[in-house]
Amino acid sequence: MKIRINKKLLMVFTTFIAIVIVVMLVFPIYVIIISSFSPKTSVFQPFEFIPREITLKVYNDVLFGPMSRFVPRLVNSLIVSLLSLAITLILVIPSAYAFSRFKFVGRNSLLYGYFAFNQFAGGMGLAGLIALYAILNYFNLLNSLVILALIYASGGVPFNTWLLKTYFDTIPKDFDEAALVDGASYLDIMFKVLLPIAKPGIATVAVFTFMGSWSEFIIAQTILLSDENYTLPLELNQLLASPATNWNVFAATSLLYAIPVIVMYLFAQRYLQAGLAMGGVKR
Amino acid sequence: MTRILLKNLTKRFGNVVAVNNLNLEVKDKEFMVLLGPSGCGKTTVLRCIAGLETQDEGEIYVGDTLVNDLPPKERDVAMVFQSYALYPHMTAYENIAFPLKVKAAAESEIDQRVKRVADLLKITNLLDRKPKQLSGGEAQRVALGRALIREPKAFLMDEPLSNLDAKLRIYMRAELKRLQKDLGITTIYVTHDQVEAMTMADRVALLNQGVLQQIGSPEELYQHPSNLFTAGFIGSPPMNFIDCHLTKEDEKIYLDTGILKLPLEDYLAGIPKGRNIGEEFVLGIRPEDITLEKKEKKDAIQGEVFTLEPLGSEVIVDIKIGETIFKIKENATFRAEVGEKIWLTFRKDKIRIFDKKSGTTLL
Repeated sequence: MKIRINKKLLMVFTTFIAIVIVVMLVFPIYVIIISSFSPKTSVFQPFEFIPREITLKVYNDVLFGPMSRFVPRLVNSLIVSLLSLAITLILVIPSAYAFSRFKFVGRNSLLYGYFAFNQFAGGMGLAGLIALYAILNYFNLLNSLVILALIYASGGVPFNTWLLKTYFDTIPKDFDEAALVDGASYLDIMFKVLLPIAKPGIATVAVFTFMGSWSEFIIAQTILLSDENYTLPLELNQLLASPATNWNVFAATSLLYAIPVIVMYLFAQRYLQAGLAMGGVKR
Repeated sequence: MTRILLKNLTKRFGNVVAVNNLNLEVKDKEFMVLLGPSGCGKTTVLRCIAGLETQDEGEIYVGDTLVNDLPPKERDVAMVFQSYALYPHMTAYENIAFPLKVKAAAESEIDQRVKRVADLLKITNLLDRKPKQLSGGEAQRVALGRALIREPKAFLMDEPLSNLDAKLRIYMRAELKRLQKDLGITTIYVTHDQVEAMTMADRVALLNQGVLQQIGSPEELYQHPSNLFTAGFIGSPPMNFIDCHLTKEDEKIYLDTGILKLPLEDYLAGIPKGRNIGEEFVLGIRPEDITLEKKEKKDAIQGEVFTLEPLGSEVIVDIKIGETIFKIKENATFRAEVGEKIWLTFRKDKIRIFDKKSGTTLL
């Protein structure tokens, strides 16, 4: 009996902790959401849990207002993110396939090189950034969205190659061999057999790459010099940096900024399920 | 005319010799089974023929073509995998059509041929299904369909029935054998299951540790095993073996097993002259060539019932003599108690004698 009470108490306690954590996580999002629908530029004067007035004016201003910079920044962000996504997939898919399926000279050194790059690249931080700036400046390549996309893609290629290679490794070689005997070429095998089976792995790489490029700030800030090339994270920063921040505009912009990420995630979710490779082979 | 010829085929993996100097001819339209325990190299042989492994030495002919350096798709052989390897994202139809699709055959031709093959294999109603919606037997047929559609010169099958349940396996055994005969396509079939080999093969090639032990019809392998390995591998339950040596008693030479002495003159043909007293042999006798008596009998050996394994149509009786267990096939009506005394008689004309060192059959 005593133990049962303790168990109940424990359950109440853990539930309470869980609720506190959820509130802590959800509260800022809630504030952002109600701010974006508020006519007031600041929700904190005074703070209203349930706003008395709700308006779509802020969204209208952000999207279509005469002063709005959201749409051109969105276009910039989409150019950079989609381009880096395309470059990443074009580079990562064939190399992951090759690393997973073929033996060639330098295979292991390259793989470990990739691994090492992953470990050190992040740690180079400021020095790397300065070097990058200097190099791009020297070649007159600063302030270019294409270059930014290339930098994002190249930064992610080693990690994503590892990731997808590991996924390819889990696909039984029987498929390749069956296709080979069936008369398929290596390209056929990659495109017609392995890629469809590897959709979950590719979706993961795509989501990582897109989200990485979409939310990156520091490199974009360093190499994009003119306002008209700014991506959305830089725009958000500008909104914050202005002397009198319009919090409702900032909130609406933030939420609009999050939409493509949610869409991307929902789109990829169908494939983010494992187990697609099951069913064709009996073990 | 498609025969498959292997000449001095050798394949190594590092220091391990997987296939050692194999010579094998599979005749046109023949159903050849490569049989052997796990790791004996039988699958490696198949993969070398398919072009999935490159042999280290030797020659492989498919038909009259030397295929040593040809890629798999130019060898014109089809393979059925143990795992079936059906592409999970394609329907049964698309799976079967795949070999023609990659050849860029016309859609109408593909459709016509897929339907013909589906009809032959009785899987027309399954064509819209994905592999995970197929049962083991159905997946097996689709895999066969994918192999058939190309009308290849030869079929290579790697344990295709081993993932099926026992009942379906027995059914598919006959089905596959009949199909092979109807189509008349040269087939090499790999299995570790000697019952499968015996029931399906025109000829069986038995391998052990990469070395060909014997090749012949199932009956030949059963009745005339060329060595100790073949004798022990073929047959279920396997042949009973007893170590023995030559002894001399009253000027007569005997094969002494410890539990039984056989006068050598009865077996002279099998024992080459010049063997010395004390030299060791192995005596073998099949479970069906021993008879059991409940009463003492002249020349019979006494043992005790160790256990009974009823199989329905017959019963396998394990008899313990000294430390050795003998397996004996008896009628289903046979009754005995564990521990009961019993007398064994060997059918002398069925006794086999093997050289202990080399394993070669002497008699």
